[in-house]
Amino acid sequence: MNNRLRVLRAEHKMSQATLAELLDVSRQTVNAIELGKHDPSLQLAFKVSQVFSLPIEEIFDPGDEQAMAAE
Amino acid sequence: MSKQQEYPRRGPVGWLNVLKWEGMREVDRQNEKRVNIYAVLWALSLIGTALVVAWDGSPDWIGWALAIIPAALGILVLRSYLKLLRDMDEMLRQMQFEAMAIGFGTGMITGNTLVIIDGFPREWIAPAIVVPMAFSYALRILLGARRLACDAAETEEVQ
Repeated sequence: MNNRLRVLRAEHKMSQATLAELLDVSRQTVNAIELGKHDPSLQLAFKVSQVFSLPIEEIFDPGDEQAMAAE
Repeated sequence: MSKQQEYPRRGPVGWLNVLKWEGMREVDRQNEKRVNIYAVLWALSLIGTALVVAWDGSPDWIGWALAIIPAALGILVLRSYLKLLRDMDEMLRQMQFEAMAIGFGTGMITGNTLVIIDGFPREWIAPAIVVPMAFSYALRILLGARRLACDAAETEEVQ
């Protein structure tokens, strides 16, 4: 799953550690989500959307997976 | 809000610090500490009970009575581990599940393979399952932790 987490974090001048504290997860989790190595749970995705005041679909993009499901 | 801690991850000390889970939440750290303490006490009680039971002079009822101690501590380990999993950071929890799956699978494959070998001593069947299970679980956790620490270190430089 693709996401704009790193871009949004940079725009808000936020470190991974700060975002991790806001989301109540480890810094590794934030890092893994940014690298696309971990897909967040629905609960965490909602928390991210609340932190950046954006809808989930503007932060996370299922990319190829959605296209494959549609087929 | 959880307190985030950072440790050096470079060099031999960095390797050891992987075990501290840099960035791990305080609640996970406390839960993990509780599991570790109960697990050590459980292992010690098992050894102690086995030694007392093996002593020739001990009456039979002592073995039955003492077996309650490791059983009770074992239940505490199980309860504290379940609490750890329920409260755990979601990615670390996923790693725990993967490690458990790998551990279980390795134990089953190794154990069953050894059992069908003709002449394999029956008294070694249990260790042949449990030992690979425990080692593969621990190895998966260690390698996963190391990979996470390396990924985190690389992106830290980018920031």
